[in-house]
Amino acid sequence: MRIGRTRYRVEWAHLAFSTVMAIVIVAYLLDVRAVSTNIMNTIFVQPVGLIAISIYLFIAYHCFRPMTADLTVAGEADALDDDQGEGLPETLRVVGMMVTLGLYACSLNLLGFDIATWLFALVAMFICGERNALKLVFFPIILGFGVVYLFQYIIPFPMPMSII
Amino acid sequence: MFDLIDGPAFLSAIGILTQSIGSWGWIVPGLIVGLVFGALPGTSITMAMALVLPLSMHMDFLSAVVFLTSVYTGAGFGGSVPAILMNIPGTTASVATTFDGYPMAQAGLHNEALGYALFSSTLCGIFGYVVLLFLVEPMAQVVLTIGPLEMFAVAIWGLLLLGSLGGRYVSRGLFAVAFGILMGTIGMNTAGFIRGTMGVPEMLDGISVVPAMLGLLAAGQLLNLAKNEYILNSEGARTISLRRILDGCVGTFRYPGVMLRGSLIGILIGAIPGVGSSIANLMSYAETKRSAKNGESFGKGNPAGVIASEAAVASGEGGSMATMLALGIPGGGATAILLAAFMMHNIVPGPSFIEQHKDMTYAIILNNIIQAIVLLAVGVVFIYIVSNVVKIKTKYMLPAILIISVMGTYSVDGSISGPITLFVAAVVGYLMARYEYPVACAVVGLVLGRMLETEFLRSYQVSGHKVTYLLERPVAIGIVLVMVASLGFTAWSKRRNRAAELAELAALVNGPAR
Repeated sequence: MRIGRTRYRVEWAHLAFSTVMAIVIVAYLLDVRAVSTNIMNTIFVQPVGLIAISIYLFIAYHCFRPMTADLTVAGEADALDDDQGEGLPETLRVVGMMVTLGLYACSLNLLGFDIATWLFALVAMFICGERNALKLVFFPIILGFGVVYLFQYIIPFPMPMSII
Repeated sequence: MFDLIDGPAFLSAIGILTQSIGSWGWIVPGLIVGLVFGALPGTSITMAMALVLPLSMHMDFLSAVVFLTSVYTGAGFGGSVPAILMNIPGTTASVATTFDGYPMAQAGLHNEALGYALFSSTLCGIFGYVVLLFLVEPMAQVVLTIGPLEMFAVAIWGLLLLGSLGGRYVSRGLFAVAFGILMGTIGMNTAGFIRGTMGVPEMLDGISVVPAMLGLLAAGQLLNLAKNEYILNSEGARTISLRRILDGCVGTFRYPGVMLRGSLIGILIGAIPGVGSSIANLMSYAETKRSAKNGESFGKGNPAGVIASEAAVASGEGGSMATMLALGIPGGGATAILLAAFMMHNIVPGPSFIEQHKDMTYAIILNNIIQAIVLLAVGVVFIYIVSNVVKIKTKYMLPAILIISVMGTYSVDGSISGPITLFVAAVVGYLMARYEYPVACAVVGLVLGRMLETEFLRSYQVSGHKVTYLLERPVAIGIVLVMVASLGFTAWSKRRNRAAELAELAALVNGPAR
């Protein structure tokens, strides 16, 4: 990216993530002020929020790395450090696990703890690379039904089940 | 002046212990329960003690206390196991253990790291309880002088230390701390204002800490491990060796100063209710790094880092026990359950308890010393067995731990909000780690956020809205001055190390000057 006469290498993903966090902070601060501007409501949260935003601006500024002759080496070094060597398959595996975890959390009441856990174990093992059909059958059964069955006796709250 | 120890009561305590030999039988089971729950990501000390509390109702008072304090002792060390092997601190008290413990594991030194952690935990735990034996009453008097301003100052100090030490970039660390603190203030504050709940009644008490902590610390890290076949990539790094574990244990003796410093910090800071357990390990680590000749090696696998953290955690148990026994004030969830156990047996800890049952107080403390000694043997066997987790492929381990984590979060209040909070926090935790925002900073900020605001508001009210109130609190001034000095040194040290790294890299790339 070029700004004026200088080329910049921009850490777009990092900038986006830190900006989302900053937006959450700003939204929270606005909500705090909307509730009341009484000093007992804002005296702690407001300064901390403003400090957080200031730090965000500092971080955002440093997401733009000028690619001058002198600093090219440092920029490349940091780029090498920031790039954790993740290929597409690894990233997809992580994203797959995230989505599966989210679906598992949301489906506990819908499908029942036993079925939801069994399904999660099955899908998670598959995503992580298990292809042995026997292990894909038995291990999720042990986890899905065995662990949930045990937790029924530990957790003092009802756990909706489909089969157990 | 206080008599440091009451001789007749001490002898009576020994009599109580020798006459209640049956209660000793609960030490090993308690330690094992604590070790398992402390080591298992997805469970916590508080959960472990809450589970065994009903069992303790059927025991006599001493047996119940022995059992529960054994669980507490076991869990205190247990949290260091996932901290070292998987970069997942079992509790906020083990955060600093990850700084050097995990790099040691990645370098194939996990056996030694666990040995260092176990021995320093045992020795410093014993030291903490020996100090408690002599100083339980004076310590209680010191704790009473700590007001809201001092608690606020200590908590802020610890958080700023964590922000500056927890990762490569101080700015990202401090940003994570601030973010965590703000998230911790969501809900109703002590002045009755409701913020950030988005109309959800369950959010009145704020973001549920246990699911958020599990999600940020455990699940986020586990998602990151999904791309590896094993948690430790190198095959050579996955060997389990009892000899090397014992080498680590014995190697602890090369760091007597680190252990002593960590123990003293742990006892003093651990005694502060609500704050101590999360902050003591960070302060001990920071102080050890600051005073070390090779400070730049910290964060890269220096055993002194592991020892400093674990020393403070273990001795901090003595500190928090002092506050609970002498004042009846729990330091956190685990000591709150201990307090509940006392009350279930119609015993109310506090000044009158110590006055009227000094022999029982000494018996409890002596028993904790015995537990720490037994932990050495039980702990060696435990870590030898548990270390085999590095040989389990992630495709089996990850689903199992995530399932246990989800169950654990559901058990907090029996609602689906726990698992959903876990999921959201896991995504945030993964992304934070991805972009080098130290997750532990956000977690400790979240845990302490509400307490920070409460103590700040209290200070504001107690001071009569006068800024000069700070000048009337010399302890708070001292804490602030030390805080500024230690943070300034840390920032300068990081800057110097970074400049040296860049210069070295530039020299490597450019080659020797012509």
